[in-house]
Amino acid sequence: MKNTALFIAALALILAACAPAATPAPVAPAVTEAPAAVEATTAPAAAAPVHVAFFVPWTEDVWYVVAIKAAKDRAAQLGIELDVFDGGNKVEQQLQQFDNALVAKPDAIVLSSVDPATMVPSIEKASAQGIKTVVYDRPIFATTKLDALLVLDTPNMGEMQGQAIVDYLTQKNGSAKGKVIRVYGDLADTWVTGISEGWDPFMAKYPDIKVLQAMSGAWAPDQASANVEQLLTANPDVDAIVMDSDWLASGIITYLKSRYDPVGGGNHIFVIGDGGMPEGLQYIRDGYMDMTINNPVPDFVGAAIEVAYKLANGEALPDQWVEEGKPWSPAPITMNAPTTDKPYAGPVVNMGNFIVDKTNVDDPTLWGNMANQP
Amino acid sequence: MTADAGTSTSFRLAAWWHRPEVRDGVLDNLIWLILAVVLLAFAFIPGYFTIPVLTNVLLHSTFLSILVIGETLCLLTGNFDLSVESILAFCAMFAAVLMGTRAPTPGWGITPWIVLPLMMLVGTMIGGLNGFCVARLKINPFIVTLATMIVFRGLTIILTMSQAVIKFPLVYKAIGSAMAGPIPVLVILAFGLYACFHFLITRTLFGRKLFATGGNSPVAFAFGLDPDRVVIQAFMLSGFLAAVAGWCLSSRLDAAIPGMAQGMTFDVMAAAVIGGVSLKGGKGSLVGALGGVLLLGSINSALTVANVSPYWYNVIRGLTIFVAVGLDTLKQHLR
Repeated sequence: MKNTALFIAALALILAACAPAATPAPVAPAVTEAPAAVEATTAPAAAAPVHVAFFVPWTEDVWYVVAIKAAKDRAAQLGIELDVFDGGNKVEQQLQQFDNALVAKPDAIVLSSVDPATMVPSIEKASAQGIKTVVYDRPIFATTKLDALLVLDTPNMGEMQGQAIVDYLTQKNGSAKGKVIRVYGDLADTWVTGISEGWDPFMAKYPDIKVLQAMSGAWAPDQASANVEQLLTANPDVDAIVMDSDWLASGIITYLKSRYDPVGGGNHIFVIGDGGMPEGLQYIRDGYMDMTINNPVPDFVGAAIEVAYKLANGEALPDQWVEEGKPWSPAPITMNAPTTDKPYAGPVVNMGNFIVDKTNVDDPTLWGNMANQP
Repeated sequence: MTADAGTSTSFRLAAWWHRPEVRDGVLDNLIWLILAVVLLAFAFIPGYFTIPVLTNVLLHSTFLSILVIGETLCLLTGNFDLSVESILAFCAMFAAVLMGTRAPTPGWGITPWIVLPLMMLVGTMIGGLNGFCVARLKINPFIVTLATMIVFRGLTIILTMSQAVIKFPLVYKAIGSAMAGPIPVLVILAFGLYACFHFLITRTLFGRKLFATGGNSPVAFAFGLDPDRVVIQAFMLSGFLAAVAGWCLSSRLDAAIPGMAQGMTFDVMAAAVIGGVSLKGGKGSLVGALGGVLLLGSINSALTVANVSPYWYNVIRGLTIFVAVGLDTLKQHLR
């Protein structure tokens, strides 16, 4: 009898501990200066503020650290109450966070997923509860229950990189021929698959350009550097290097500095990155990296927050997204043409990317130059 | 050849194989035989079997090889250290933050002559923390080192809020690119560390204590050894070596990156096990572990130089590791 009572008491304690919390459980590394994974930006307005749950896949990438800051800034401007969730690059962690966020019944969810495919049931659950869901960065087309999608046009990034390579090789070799190393990121990352969707068909038009492949595993710069070094040793006639992200640049540029000339030198290897990260911009200033494809991170994420705000307030989206003076503006908003395996038929905000090289690397509005600002 | 001649040859081979010096010599160095066979196979890859490429294999294996020394010490005591990759990254970022003169660091610009010893001390202390929790608090080493792996990776990210720190002082980064004739200094450093620690575990009392602790800890205690102390010392050395690897890697990259060395723990364990270090403790050698490191490095380089499709990269790598470990297991049955 005594043992039974003890067992029941223990079971009750365990069940109480497992009960869903009123606020999401802190499971991820601290986000910016806050000790917990959940943060709220209080709304200044007297009326009930719009409550938005904002998700990033991880914060080991400074891209998402800047994204969080941009989200908070735009939320503060609009008087939004913002909860921030860091997925820690773990699918199950983000799924749990999403479920916990639904309990708080936000007006809208803004999501960049660890793995887009796994979030579809969660998005549909949110839709069933009347919560607007806006996806940014890692696109999800596999559901009709999404309310808006913001993309950075990664296939276009792949095409832009390809065009830069073709232009350089034509200038150097007289025609589009030569040898290029493509440094891959994590093959499971939609960023990489998106770039490949643009890069592969573009480069297929230039059969005289041989593409060698350097792996980085799960975005490991040291692996990328070792593999590029090995390829350059085995292939001394490489003309250019293309990276899926500036994140992979460090060791590669250090190696190039020891063996090759800077931009303009006779023994220079053309290097183009992606993302516009702070270290990428510094390498462009140093003269060893030629260019990068910049993502307008603060504007992009700010737009995602504002789209969520409008949808939560029942407002319709315009035909294009305009922010005066911005290089990507206006960004077209089109209705996606659904297919059998991509049934999403809602609005897609396509914010373009642009090249950063020595001529504009010190532009203070580049997110890579803003990353160190408080 | 007649049936009689064939039978006679088989008998001669069997007799030759049963000679202890032949059998044990082959089995104890099986990993090196496997490495030789693999390199011969890779010789058919255009551009692979050249001095510069093979030198690169040695160079890029340096960081992993230094971590494997520390891991082997822990494995010999019957424990293991999952946190080596995070200690590497944290120590490198710690040093970068102290030395940095601009954002995202505070800009203190402390000289590497002070930073380097501090960095080694930090790595040693983290190792000591692991050892204390395992040996004195009797917490499972898997749990302890998994926790420290996560904590110190998180702290690495927090130090600069996910940003990389690039461009170190020359004094710090010189070792990353220095050459002694045709040989990278990093390779000489790694081999030097192997020689020192090989001497330590095979020729000194401390080495015998390592094997005794891992072989049979209660018996070691009964004979007057302090197994807990040995375990703590092994973990401290593992932490110290992880800090050394952090210095080497960050100097080679001329950068400290929040995600550096991520995933390297698997390669560390794989190299040690492939090289014959027992997960149960009390058995293994650094010579075998070094063979495991070079095997992994050779495979990685071959896949890159051969321009193997990136989607098959992990599959081929994993299968090769599986075969190598399987052969090593077969070795135990053949004894």
